[in-house]
Amino acid sequence: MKKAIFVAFVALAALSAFGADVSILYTNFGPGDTRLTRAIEKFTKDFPSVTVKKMVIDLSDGSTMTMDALLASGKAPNIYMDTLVRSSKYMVPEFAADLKPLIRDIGKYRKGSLDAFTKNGKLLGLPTPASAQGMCINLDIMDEIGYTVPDRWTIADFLKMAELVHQKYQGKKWATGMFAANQSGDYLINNWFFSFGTKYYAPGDYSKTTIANGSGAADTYKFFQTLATKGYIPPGSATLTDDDYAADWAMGRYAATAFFVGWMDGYWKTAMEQGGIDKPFRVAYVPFPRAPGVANVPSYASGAAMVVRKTGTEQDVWAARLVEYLNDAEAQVQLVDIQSNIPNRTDVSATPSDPYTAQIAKIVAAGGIMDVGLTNSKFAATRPVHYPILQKVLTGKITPEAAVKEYEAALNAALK
Amino acid sequence: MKSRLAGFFLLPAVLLWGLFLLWPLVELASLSLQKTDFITREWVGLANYRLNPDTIQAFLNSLWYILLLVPGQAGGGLIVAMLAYRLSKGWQDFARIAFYLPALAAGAISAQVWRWLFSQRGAANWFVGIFGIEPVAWFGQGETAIPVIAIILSLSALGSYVILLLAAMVNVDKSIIDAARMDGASEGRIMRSVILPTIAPQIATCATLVAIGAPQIYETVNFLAPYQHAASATFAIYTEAFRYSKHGSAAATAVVLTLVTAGATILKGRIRA
Repeated sequence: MKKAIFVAFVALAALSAFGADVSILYTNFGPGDTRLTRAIEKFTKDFPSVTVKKMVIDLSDGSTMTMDALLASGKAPNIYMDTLVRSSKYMVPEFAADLKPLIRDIGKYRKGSLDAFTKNGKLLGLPTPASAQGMCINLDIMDEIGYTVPDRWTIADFLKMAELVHQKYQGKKWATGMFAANQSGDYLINNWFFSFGTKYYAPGDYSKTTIANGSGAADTYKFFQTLATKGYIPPGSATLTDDDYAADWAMGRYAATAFFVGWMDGYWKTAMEQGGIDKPFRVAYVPFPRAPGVANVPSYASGAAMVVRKTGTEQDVWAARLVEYLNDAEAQVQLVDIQSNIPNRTDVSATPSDPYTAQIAKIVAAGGIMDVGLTNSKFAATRPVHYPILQKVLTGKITPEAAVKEYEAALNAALK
Repeated sequence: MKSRLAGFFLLPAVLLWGLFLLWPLVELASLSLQKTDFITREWVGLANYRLNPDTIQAFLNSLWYILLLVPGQAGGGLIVAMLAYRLSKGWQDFARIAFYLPALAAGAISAQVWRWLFSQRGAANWFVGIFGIEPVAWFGQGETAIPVIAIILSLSALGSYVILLLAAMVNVDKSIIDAARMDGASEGRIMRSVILPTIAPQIATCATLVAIGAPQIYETVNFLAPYQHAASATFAIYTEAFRYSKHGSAAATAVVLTLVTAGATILKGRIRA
């Protein structure tokens, strides 16, 4: 091993004498995200003979148009850095270099954090810290209904709380939120599916879904219909969008619902500007409730990844070096600060200073991250299939069992 | 010599046409015979032309858009032009400006207003609520999304057709109208029997332009209902190519759309002839 490292070091030193170009196509996460600038400055200081060319992704339409155009013209960048919805399309062995032998600090990553990015033993992408969801509890509502969320709460506990909310507010506030007018609410289905023990895929196999295995998915849809018929969610949830959902949350109308820590301040600010609330309500994050037989509910998480284009030349080595700088401890700390993300390196504290992020980190530590196929190259195609079925479920136009069959068939068609 | 000189002067235009129109079409046809995400390429012959159900639905949606937009934009434009025709020149100019103004608004911005109006708690649901109808997810299914998008597009593009058709009406030979008037024809009869038949080619042109444009609508669909159930042919091509990276099948759909559009244009020319 020592010999291999020595040879690699000598080879790198030799390569640095000649110089090279490394290009990166990237998106950043808001004005505070200066990771790229910092990493490139540090990288070019250490390797002055290497030129780094930056290209910013045109995200105006949320597609991979920029990257696909570069690919078509034979000018694909050496590094593609973007959210998983898009970067997963390039985590295929025909395009991506295996990062295992190229990343020197691979041992610094937390156990399991690279599993979903490893396909047939090859590490095809390097994940940045991801933001994870928990169930966001409105503590003001809990005080008003006199309810305390128990540790490791169950679906029965949740329904008890839901009835108290219903009795107290009579349709002015609700136990939880739901929307089905667009595809953005897939995280709601995901969270509740895992609450009932449903899994999307067998480990590492994204060729077909496993949601129809067991009764979890049907139980989830039955639960959704209960929420709708008992008035535990807003009326007409089938017709609501993500905008309605976030606005209702910010106005303090949900007792307990899925949310990202990073979303809170922005929506609170809007709600206060519009006069909906005077000040932010008190919140706490807890795991999603468990159905009988479910030990722990994993968290839904979304993040970004870096993919290095396989060229078979020295550029792969340089690109991997830059990726190391882009995802080092300093970069991860920065992303944790600006996005309330959960770090995936052991040299970054697992307990962030922000109290809400710390609560999420605790939930993730106990339950892990759910596998919804984010690293599968077909993930983007699977997202739009759920909401038309959810609409039918919420309006009672389909039985839970038929909904599961329809969802399974639609998912499998998208995965082909 | 003259023909050589003519050829020399035509050369720049022919080169530009070849580079920016013909060559992309050849590339498109070539791409349609491949299975590619631009990472790998495989020649698959005509396999991409076995259109998938989503693409077929997009073409059917496009047919709906045509059926709704032709009367909405060209028909609506004609009605407004007929009403404005009887006004003084000043009021005609006002009508032109008033109806053309929405076309100047950026689609992305006006889409936000429409989105708000047709949201679950928007004005549209308040209105249907008066009649005891439950709130509707207007953009949540094709049955409502396509008509709503057609209404929005009709209102925003109406002005262009008002300008075209009103210009055609005011340019009808005055002597024919005066002759009809002298024969005792009413204003309604003049419109019905003189003006409309005279401007029939312009009406047909407007209808053809709308019919050709309808399968190509993109912006409004993308901002209001970026889903399969409301997809136009162009939106389906975009989704297939840039969301799912199926560039070969997207190219095949684009070729089919090109042929359908070209066929419609030729057919319109023959009908007119």
